[in-house]
Amino acid sequence: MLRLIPFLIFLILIGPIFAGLMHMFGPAFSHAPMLGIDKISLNAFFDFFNMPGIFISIWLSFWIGLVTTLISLLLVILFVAGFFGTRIYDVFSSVMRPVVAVPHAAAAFALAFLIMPSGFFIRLVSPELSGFSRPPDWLVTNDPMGFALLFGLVIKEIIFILLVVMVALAQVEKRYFKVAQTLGYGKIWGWLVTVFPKIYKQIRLPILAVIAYSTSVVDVALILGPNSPPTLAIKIIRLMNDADLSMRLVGAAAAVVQLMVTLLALLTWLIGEKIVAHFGKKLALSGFRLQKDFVLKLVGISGVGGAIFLIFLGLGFLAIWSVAGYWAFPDILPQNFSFNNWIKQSPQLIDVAFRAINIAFFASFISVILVLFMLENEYRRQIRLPKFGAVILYMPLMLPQVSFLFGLSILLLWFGIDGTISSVIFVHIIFVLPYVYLLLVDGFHGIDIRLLKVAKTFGKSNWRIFFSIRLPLLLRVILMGFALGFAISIAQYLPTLLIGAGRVPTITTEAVALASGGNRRLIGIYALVQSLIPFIIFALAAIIPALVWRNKEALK
Amino acid sequence: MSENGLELKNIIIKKHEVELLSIDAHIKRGEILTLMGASGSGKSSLINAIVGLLPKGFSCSGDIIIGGQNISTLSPQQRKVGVLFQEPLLFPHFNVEENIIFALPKKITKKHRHKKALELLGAVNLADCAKSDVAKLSGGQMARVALVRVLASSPRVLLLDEPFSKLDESLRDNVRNLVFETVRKQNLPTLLVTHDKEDAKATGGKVVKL
Repeated sequence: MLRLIPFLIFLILIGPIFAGLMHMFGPAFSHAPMLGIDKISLNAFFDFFNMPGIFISIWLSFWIGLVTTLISLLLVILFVAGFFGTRIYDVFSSVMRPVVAVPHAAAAFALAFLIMPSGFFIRLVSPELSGFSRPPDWLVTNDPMGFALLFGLVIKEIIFILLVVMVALAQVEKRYFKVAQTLGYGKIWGWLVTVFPKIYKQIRLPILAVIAYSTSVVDVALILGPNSPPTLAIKIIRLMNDADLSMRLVGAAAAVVQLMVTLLALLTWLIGEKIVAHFGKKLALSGFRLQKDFVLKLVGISGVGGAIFLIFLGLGFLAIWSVAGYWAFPDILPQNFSFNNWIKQSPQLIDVAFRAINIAFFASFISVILVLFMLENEYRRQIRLPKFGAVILYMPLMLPQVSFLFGLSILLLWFGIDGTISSVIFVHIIFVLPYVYLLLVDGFHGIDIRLLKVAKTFGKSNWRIFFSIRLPLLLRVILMGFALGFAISIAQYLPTLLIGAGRVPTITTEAVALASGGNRRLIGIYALVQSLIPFIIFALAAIIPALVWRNKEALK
Repeated sequence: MSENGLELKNIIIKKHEVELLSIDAHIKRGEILTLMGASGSGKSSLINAIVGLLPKGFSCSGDIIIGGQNISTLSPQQRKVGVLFQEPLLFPHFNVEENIIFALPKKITKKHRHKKALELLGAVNLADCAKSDVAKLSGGQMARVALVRVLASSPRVLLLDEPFSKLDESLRDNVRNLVFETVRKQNLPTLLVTHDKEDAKATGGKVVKL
């Protein structure tokens, strides 16, 4: 039975993607019997490419995806290389953990509230320094070049990449770094040449996932991204929601183009990897030692520290907006505070929050169970996930959601199972499970095998050992995996919207929907609750093992 | 380098404000001083202090002087202190030759780096293994590559952090003799920390017990 688990997982992951892509490719090539169109042609593509500003949309998606990943990775590397093993590193690694829980949309709102013309930063210098008694007429968020979107993605991806680097670092021999320093290498360059190649092998798939996500992001682009023309993913959403049904074909063609754009971005990155590795090695063997790296350390700490600080500050500003009464520009604080909005919103807020919790709980719980069984199967059969297995596992994260979710939603509609909580949970599992695996795999296989062998010599069965030795020892990591999965599920916008067919509103779909309205008090309330829910789960995941193992020194 | 070698003046190492080790020593060029002590006596902490990589919670006072220059406040990469660790710690993504080239100083030009690496490997009979994957070397070969690598960086002082402790009995004597001979030939002031009496005896030098 256990042997079937990997196949079940691959079916869960690959099945919907395959079905979704098929139901997107069909209409893209004008094969849509449901719409009465069944003559294979490229017309939808021609119509799509004839739309005004479409090449700008494509370019925006491409460059923002690549540059987001590049900047985030560079800043994280500079920080980790420059401060690894120091007190600052320890402080940052503790402080960043709550930020991991903050959904992308909430982080985007937090940033928008800081940088918009009537936001915190302008208020801070107005009117004395700036001379503004009214918000300036600047297009800061939703700028046509997409810089605000890039900024919003970078501050969140820095946190994610920092997390995966930290997880990878735990598995890597760090004394190479010490050797490099004794050979006269500066901290950053020494780390880059000796430790980073090992780390990169482990974080490569998550990095590719960041590229795929950033080239096709919807929720953050709706909040911070350009409007005319928008990024490609937003264009697809608009086409798919067009009242003219024939536009669905153009939308499907656009989704195929989005898939190509993401694949091209991934390919560009892979080529870039080879080039960097080639010249990096040449430089490393040239004797270049970069002993004076103060400026690079400063860049690293400013980038990572800045991202963490901005998210916290923005969330604080959101919290103030949620209870703000009258708040004129350029006042730093409102003239009065009121909980009226919270009270007025509470029935709907409780409804969407509990629905989101319900979905996230089951999506994460089922993912944790499946991953644990898959890992137990690996242990019992003395095998590890092969490379192609890892590619399949991370495939949902490496393909643009918008490319297959529309097709999947059509398929579910066909079967009459769209718009249900269970179908939303099922689709969330596709995106939650890879992250749960990423977090659990090293902990699961890193356990001291001798303990399990000792139990075996006592005549205990494999399942008895699994439940009474393995799971208790892994309590902390299992709960962290659950919390991460929970946070990922809470943050899902497009899968919830499309598979829920608008009938399964959650805190995230409602929060993002508020973006166009511009009611800051409501946005403050929803974005804050959206951040608080996963944060509470992360806190519980940290507190429970500490309480359970309070008398066990080795497990604290 | 002047004739001063390595001087450790009033060195006191503390762990969480508790004194772990205090030492005054002078190691002349070509001399090997052996520091012996049980686990936890602060031997490796002294190595870390000289290298400039004391872990958190540790502190070091006093002066570390190499060739008349006080290096106590210099960063690890500026100290020019070579270390042979317990494990060879060869970089697995570089081959044997690249491990050596990586250690060579910048002043050796691109044209000569490959030649120099081969020359150094030849001195320990490993020129044939230049292009080999480090993971495929035997324990003795790894130890020799690690020695060549540290010498390639032109250190002013050599620190030996129990580098023979993980070698098989059969290899230990050979590697030990090679290291000590090389140290003397290169006239390097050398500090050996060990808990093995045989190591101490083989140096033929002074022994400080902690």
